Amino acid sequence: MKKLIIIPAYNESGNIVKTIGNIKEFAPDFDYVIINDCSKDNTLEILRENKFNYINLPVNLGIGGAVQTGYRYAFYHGYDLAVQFDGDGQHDAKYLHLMATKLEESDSDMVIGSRFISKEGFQSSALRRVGIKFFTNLIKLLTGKVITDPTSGMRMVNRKLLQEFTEEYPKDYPEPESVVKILTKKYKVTEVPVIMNEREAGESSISMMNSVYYMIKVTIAIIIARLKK
Amino acid sequence: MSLRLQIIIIVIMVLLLMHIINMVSKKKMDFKFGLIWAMVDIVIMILAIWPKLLAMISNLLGIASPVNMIFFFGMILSMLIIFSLSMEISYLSDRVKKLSQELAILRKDTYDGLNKKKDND
Repeated sequence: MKKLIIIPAYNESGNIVKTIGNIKEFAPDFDYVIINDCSKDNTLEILRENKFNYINLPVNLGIGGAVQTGYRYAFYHGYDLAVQFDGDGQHDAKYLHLMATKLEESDSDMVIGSRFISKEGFQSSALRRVGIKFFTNLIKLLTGKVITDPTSGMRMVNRKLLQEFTEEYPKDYPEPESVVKILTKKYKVTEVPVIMNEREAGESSISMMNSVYYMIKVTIAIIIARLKK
Repeated sequence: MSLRLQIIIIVIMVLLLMHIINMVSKKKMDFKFGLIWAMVDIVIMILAIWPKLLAMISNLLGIASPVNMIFFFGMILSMLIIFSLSMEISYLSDRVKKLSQELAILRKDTYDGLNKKKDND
């Protein structure tokens, strides 16, 4: 069974070495690939010096396009499952085996690592939790399924779904939208409890300035995703 | 519509049409887009040359001044073109995204392949 960890990286020079160390320690049987999305800092130099396995995008594609590059790579190289993993130290590779087991045992197409099942570890800010709760309710209303952490960037998919993602993946803020898309297509999504850390360095892809646009965009995108069969 | 305005509109439209034809022949604009612009240009020109037609249509649509009809027409057509351009841009950016991803993966695989060969030698 070939397993790939996809790590999108944009200006992650402060975190990436630690992230890869964490993966090599706790998930050595997984392959990994870092997608450098035209970082403006010295991320590329760090990747090169450490001889990490990376793909260097020629133009900046944003988080959706970067992650999709990983899925495309996984698909071309015959991987059986792929998991998205943030390069900023928020995610812990300890949970990857748990997720892989869950994927297989529950016969799911996607397994999401959720912060809000055991409610331990970094819980995000109160304001963001309100936003996430809103999406959980909206998704429940539209699909009848409960996804406690629809914005989680830690998600594992089987080969069927990684092929789907190769063909189509949202450009920006992809997580909630793509979950609704695959629920609409009757794929099975389950969640496992994970503990996440607060990011150690760098900036979140969603700043305060963008959060209003984020809420509007994701809400509309979710509704459109549900309408489109 | 005064004769002066008629002449101004016609002169501008003729110059614009020449420019469009020039751009298409120099391959600076796709024939497809050149055609759309030329059609808008010609429609406005016909209305300026033939004010009676303009008066008839504006009467039909309940627009008081025929000149406003020209502006109205021009605006609607421009909006249609801008709309189609937004669609075209979305389509193009999608293709650029796919090509960039393919290029990045191809470059990586080529590089990995060369390294493997070096190790085996």
